[in-house]
Amino acid sequence: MSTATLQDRYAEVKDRFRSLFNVFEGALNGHRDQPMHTLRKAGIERLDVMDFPTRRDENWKYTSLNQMLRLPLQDSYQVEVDAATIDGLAIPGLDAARIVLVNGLLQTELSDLDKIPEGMELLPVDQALEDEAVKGQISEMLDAAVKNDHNPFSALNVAFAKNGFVLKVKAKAVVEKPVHIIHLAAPTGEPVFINPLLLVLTGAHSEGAVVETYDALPGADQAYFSNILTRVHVGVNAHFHHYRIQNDSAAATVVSNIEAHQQQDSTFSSYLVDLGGDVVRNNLSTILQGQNTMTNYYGVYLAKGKQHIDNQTFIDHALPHCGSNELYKGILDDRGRGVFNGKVIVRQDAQKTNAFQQNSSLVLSKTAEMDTKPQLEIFADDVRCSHGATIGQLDESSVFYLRSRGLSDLQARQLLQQAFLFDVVENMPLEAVKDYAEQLIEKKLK
Amino acid sequence: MSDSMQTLEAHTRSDYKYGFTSNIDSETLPKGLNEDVVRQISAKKGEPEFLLEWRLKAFRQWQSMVEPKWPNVDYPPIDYQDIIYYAAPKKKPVLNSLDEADPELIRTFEKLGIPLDEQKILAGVAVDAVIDSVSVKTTYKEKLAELGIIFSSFSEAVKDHPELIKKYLGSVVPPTDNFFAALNSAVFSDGSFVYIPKGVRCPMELSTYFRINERNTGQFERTLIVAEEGSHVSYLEGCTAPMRDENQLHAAVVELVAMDDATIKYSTVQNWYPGDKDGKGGIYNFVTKRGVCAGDRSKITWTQVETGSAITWKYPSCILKGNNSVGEFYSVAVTNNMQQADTGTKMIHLGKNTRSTIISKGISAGKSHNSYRGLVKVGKKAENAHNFSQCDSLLMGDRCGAHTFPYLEVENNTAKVEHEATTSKIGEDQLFYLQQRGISEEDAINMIVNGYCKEVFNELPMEFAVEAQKLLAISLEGSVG
Repeated sequence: MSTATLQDRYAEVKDRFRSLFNVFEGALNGHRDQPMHTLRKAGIERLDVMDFPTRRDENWKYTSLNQMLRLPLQDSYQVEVDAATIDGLAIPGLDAARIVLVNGLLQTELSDLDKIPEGMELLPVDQALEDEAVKGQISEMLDAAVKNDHNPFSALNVAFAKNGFVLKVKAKAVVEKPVHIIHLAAPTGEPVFINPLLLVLTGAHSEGAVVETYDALPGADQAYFSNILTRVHVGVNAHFHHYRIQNDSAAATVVSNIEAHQQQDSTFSSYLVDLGGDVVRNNLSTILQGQNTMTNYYGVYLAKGKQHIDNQTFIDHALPHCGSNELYKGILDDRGRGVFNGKVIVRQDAQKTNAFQQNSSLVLSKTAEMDTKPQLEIFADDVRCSHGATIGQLDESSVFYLRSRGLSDLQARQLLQQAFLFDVVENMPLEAVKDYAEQLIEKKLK
Repeated sequence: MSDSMQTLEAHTRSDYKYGFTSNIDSETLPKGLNEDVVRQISAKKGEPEFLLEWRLKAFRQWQSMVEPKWPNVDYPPIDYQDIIYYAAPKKKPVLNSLDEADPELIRTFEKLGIPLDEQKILAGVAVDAVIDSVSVKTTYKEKLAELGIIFSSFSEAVKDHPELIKKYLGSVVPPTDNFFAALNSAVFSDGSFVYIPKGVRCPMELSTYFRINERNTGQFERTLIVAEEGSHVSYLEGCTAPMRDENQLHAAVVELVAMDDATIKYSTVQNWYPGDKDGKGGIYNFVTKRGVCAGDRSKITWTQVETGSAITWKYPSCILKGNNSVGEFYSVAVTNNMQQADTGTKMIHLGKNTRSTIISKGISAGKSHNSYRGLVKVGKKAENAHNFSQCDSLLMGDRCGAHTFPYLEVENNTAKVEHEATTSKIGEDQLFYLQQRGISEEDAINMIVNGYCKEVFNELPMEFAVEAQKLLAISLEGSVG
């Protein structure tokens, strides 16, 4: 297709988003003079200068969002869900304050808004923008999201997000109990546009975790677009864990932009498990703002049917004495396709950096595909950086061993696949979340 | 700055040892490129009609193409109309012995250490020396001819074996493959042609010395090697170039075709003028090299030692089409001062049970940048493909960069693809150990670097391995910390 027609088509897509925004704006009675609205407008105006990525862009070489961009997306609306359904989606054994969002809209009745653990605070974004203590930081974070020049999706999230939250972990608070955000896609019959937004601010010397699960209710088999924006600021000597277990419906397109900023001596750990979705694209990046930090990325992807899961990770080592550790593993079966691009930059001043990255994939069927690109760019000499990537199949001698112990061929293979993925999951410090993820993986492998 | 750092700096600042210009009269076309220039080049070489048509087609394509911007290198835009596209030494005598040759030329070769004289021929090297664009002397041709091996300059091959040229030219790298390949196809001046008939094992290493000699002359070489069923050939290519202040463009194309059970080993030592300490001058080396393992059980090995050029941009690749075919890539790339290298390989697995190995060793010093960019692709029908890649980078100094861009694309579930990469510097403990055994710091560094590159040097034919080790020492002279 020539460039001209592509541009024409994207002009049409942009117009659709613009008119969707006009509808949304029209319904925002009395909210027009709030600071959030200025940001929303800046978000939609970003489309004037930014194009949607195409497969001609190096970073989108393997992933096309055209199918989703053709959808006549609708604004999401309230759908009633009963408490029993939610209980069924809770993580067994996890003691957490639960927040429920259906199609991106908060279900106040079902959420433990008054039971947020001590040391944490959960504020709606528009409220946070009027809170003297955090408004500066929050508007800066949203502004940066709007200005994301890699793709227009984080700007679109700011424009359309309805029930965005700010999670604050107070300085010196070590909070053991996490906040569990349950995102649900409900049947709507038409393609809806869901924009989950989460901003995390952690104070100095604090520790905390947030667990996000994405599920679809039975019957939510319409195509929908979940456009996730997560930004985390980890304070000095603070430690923060972000868990996300995505089990959306097979018709969903999921794009997420997750960015962490780390102050000195801090740790940020991300655990991403992608099981659902039709086309999934995760952009995970970390910017280091202080020395002696540690960044952990753990990722699992399991694509079956015609699922397409694309993980892009980026760590910018701009300062000395920092470490990063990345482990991504996945299984591709049927016509599933996996993409991994792990980019690590070690800048000139980032001496004594210790960066490790490993990506391993199992390709189980003739029609499955894996494209991986572990990319290292190093400008400093006193560093230890290594990356490894493997693509292969189950070890037949291991299968044979298990069969000699009385397991059937199928059982042996399932067990080995599980073990392959559990290797990553077992790094999750929250036992209940780990068990839950393992259980979902087990179920999907059957 | 530490002492060792200073030694490193002193080492990296050493000058290019092979910089000199030989005065040979050249017959040169005016600067610039248009259809007339392409026609003139073709006419001067007395080429058949089909080749002129081929060139013109490539030229028209080239006009509609844009220069690629994706390599991780930086250089001022090239004015393609400011380049001389044809320069040939005027005298082209038919020589019976070396005494008849232009003494200036012989001296040039001697400085380069090319074994053209009698004793050196005994070393078993047949040399097709290319000064600028036209072959001056071909040795051992008769002996090779007895076996039916054709080893000649490209223009001779066009005259003597047009049917082979017609069949294989552009069959691996089509003229429209990329910007520089198209440019080369339009204006290529000369090069080498090798044809190894069925079942013949070439008794000696074939080698060609390319030398860029004319100021402002872009060198557009074309090499084509065809190895018929069951044959075996080892080809060496080595380069040095004189000191220049203006950047010179070199856009060569190398095509290899290996039939059933054939083996081609292609080794390169590249030591062109890298520019001075501030990045002034130096060669732009934008090369397309590709081999196709067309037959079953065929094998292509690329070995390269890249120490020169201001900018290197090349990806010797293998298309593993035949079942059980093997592709190998061994590379040492050294960059110093302001040099930039973006190099690597592509292994395209198409046939069943194909295997490939990639060993890449990058060494960056000074303010240079060294990138490995590679693709391993396993096609849908490539059952049981196996690849192993290892890309190591060694950094010397804190102003240089090492980058890796490996692409792995696997579409078959029986494939095994492994990639690993490390980046490090020379360990202080290693240096200390060698020094306390009485080895000077500089020798210790050379020893460590040579050890680091050993895996690649082991793949080079012996004469080349010796030269490569010397080259490495010269390129990194004074540089370690």
